[in-house]
Amino acid sequence: MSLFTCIGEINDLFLEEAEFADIAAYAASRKRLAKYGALAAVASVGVAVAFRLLRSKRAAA
Amino acid sequence: MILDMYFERQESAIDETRRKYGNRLFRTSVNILYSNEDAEECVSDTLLKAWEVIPPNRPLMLGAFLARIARNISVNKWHAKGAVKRGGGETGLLLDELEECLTSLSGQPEKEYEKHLITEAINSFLGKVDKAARVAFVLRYFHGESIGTISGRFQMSESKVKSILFRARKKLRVHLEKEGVVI
Repeated sequence: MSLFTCIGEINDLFLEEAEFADIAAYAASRKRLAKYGALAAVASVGVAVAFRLLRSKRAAA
Repeated sequence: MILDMYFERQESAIDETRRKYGNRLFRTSVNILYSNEDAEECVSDTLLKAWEVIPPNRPLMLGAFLARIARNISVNKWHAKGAVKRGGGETGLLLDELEECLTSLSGQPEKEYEKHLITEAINSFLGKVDKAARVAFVLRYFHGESIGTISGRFQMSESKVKSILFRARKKLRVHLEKEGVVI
């Protein structure tokens, strides 16, 4: 008996998914998500820096 | 519905099943056996087996149910053909790749229990991994698809697919160790 034999008994849901899943679209959406996630991270850092500058300016005034 | 035809014992159920699932079953068989003739025979055996077991079985997913039968018949035939006739081939490659995850299993008496244990571990592993890794794993190690075919379907480079599969095997090995399956 081998792992190859045991793989023959995996859940039906995984077999159906493998048959019909559109991985190209899935990978593209993951890429988009990563891109927007990175943009959101950059934007949040920008906002934090701006607030800090504003606060230090007010403190100086 | 095809299943109803089986339950009503209409022989046209077999033709209908061949029409709908024949290509898919043939693809899995030919990936394992590398012989159109043998694969055709496996598809016919699969349909016959389905006719014998439905009813009483009423599979929720007929395609997956048939794929499992076709794969098991193909793997048995592949084993029966003997190591000399097999040659290298894609099935030999698949076995080599999987050997990284699980090299040996203990003796005969606990065979069924071990099989159940490993299958459960594989199912829980597949439930946890990323969708792309899961689908690539099933296409490669269940259906025996080549890296080229998977990369075509995923619209990714072959090296990307290889790396997805490599990482999946590595994770599977860790998972099997955690589950106490790897010896």
